[in-house]
Amino acid sequence: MKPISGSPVLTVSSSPHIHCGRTIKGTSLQILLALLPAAGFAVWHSDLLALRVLALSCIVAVIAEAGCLKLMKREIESDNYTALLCGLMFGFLMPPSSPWWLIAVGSSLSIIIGRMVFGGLGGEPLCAPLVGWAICKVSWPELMNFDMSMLTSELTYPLSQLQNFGPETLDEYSLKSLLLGFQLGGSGAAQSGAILLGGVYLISRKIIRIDIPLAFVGGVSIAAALFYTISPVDYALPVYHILCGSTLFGAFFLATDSSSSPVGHFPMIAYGLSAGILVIIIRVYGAYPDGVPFAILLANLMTPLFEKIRPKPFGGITNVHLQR
Amino acid sequence: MNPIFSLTPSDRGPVLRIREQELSSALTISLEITGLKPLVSRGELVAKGQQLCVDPANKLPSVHSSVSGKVLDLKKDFILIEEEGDRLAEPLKFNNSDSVSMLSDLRDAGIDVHGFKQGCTLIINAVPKEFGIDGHRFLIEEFNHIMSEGLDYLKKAISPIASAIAVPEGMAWTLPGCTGHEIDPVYPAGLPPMVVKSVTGKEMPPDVCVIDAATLYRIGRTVHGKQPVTEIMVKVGSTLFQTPVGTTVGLLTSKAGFSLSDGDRVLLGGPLSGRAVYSLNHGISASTQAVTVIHGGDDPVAKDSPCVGCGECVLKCPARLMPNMISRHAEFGFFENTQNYFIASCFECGLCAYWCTAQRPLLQYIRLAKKELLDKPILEDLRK
Repeated sequence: MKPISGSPVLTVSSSPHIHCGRTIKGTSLQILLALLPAAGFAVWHSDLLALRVLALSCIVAVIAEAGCLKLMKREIESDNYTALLCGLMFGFLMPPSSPWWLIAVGSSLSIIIGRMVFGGLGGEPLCAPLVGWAICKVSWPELMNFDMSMLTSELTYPLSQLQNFGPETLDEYSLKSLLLGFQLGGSGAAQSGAILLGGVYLISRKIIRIDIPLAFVGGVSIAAALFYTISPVDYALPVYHILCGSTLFGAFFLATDSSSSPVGHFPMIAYGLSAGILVIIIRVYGAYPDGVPFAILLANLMTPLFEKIRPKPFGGITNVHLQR
Repeated sequence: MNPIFSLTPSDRGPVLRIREQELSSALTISLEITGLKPLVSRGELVAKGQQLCVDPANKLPSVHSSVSGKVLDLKKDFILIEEEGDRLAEPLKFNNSDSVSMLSDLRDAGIDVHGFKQGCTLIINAVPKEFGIDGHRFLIEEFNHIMSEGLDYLKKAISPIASAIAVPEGMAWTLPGCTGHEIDPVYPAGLPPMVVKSVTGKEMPPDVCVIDAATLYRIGRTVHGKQPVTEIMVKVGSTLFQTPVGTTVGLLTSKAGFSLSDGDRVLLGGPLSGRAVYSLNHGISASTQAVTVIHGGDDPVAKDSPCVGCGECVLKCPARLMPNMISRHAEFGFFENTQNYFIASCFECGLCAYWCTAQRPLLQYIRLAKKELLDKPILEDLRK
């Protein structure tokens, strides 16, 4: 069966021969797009300080990934924008006034220790930007403290107010001002309204599933409501816990990080719920005012456990069908 | 819903007969005979309906000439026959004495009877396998009596404890002696394991036989006319053809209005489960129900990229498996480990690879692992 002259050369492939068209690059571009409004708000609120942080963080992340891939003798894959996304998410968590070296160290460690030592894209057992954040937070606590590093700002950090002075201080923040980002916090992570917008966009475009964000916010609300019902004088309303700090950023962008979150509806919901509950536990009992990053890191560690929750496979737990 | 997953049969259009389209030149047919032993030699004259090849192991159905003609060429995998003359083979003899010989008569007449067992539940699957593979609509509505004749023969051969027909929702298709079951017409509901589940409520029970409506028609036609089926219904794009077995896909696609260029793909079957051919001279087999054309792009469908863990395949898998983990093990040659993820439950619908964000060849990895776990491994040094 030689092709006769003039007949086209056909491509052969094995089934399935079609693809839905969704790619890693397209997905990261969509997430970057969803983060843009929050980045804009961050730059506006910090008088361009955040622009410096976000740009530096992105550039360092991309260079770090390319350098690691070069060392690993692998193809440079910066054009899938995942390193850029990781750098941007790291920048979102940092105070807008951070010194340049802190951003450079944190962003490169996010990529190197968070991702590349585990084999690169897809291998991360923990959400990569949070790894860099945690290293910075533990190593340079005073620089990572929003109240101390942002003394010049007129804004205040609601979560440390809550921790130090009790829930009545939260009354000075209106919900509208919180949504518009009039609070201290991570440069982009504190822009609750814009983050919410981006998250809803991602869900509507089916880039992320609703399970994890919903369970995360649900976990935060349930735990906060529980504390609030025990003693309304000592604990804040759930809505403040959702809008202050990086709760929404964590719910929509950090907890849904594809490789460190579990797969399957039930594991995703269990993961989101536990991360959400841990947020409140850390905020109420912990030393850190914002529990979101550590809560998500802890939930990431539990991911393999959650993935054990599997439905029975089609035809039951057996491999006898293989012989047929 | 994504239209490529819709299994609702389309409205019946006209049937194009290739014979009436190709009057000027003699028809050349090409029959695939992979794994079979040819009974004819080059230059020999054959009659319409003459047996050309048999399986020495008595497993695969034999192949018959669909035209009266002359053997132009005989290769390991193909027989080429040019139409000539008007000879007709002797009628087939059916031995109705016992089940084994009834089934082997069917196999000699070109019907795949693999997996038919005595005393099982018989399910006639009239749900399109994939979007657009609905040529059997014409057969069920016009040749119901032929199909019931085939059903009677089959019932005699395997004496099923019950018979049922699975039809897509909204279609009033029935067969005498079969209970009807409506099936939600969304892919992969037309694949045999899903049909079995909808009808019996059990997943992969051992005592069920599924036969698709087009094959049942071929049984009926064979038994009715005492001749192997030489003309079949094939859907090419949205055109339904009645055409001799062995008609080349090149002729069918050009008659259906496709113009093919380099890099296009021609599939026997649908885009999710079909088989690609490498030449336009490839002839359709008796069991082909559709020919699909996919115009090529520059990018390959699958890429060698790592799993990013998005979990789409796990959420889309109708067999509730973890294609991500199976492919990760298969990728590095740990085929035994895939059994811990119940690889045998996979019925190869292809949805995992269709939805994979990283464009990984998930189903291809699963098939590789299955093949390696079975008796004839194709790769042995990947693990070293």
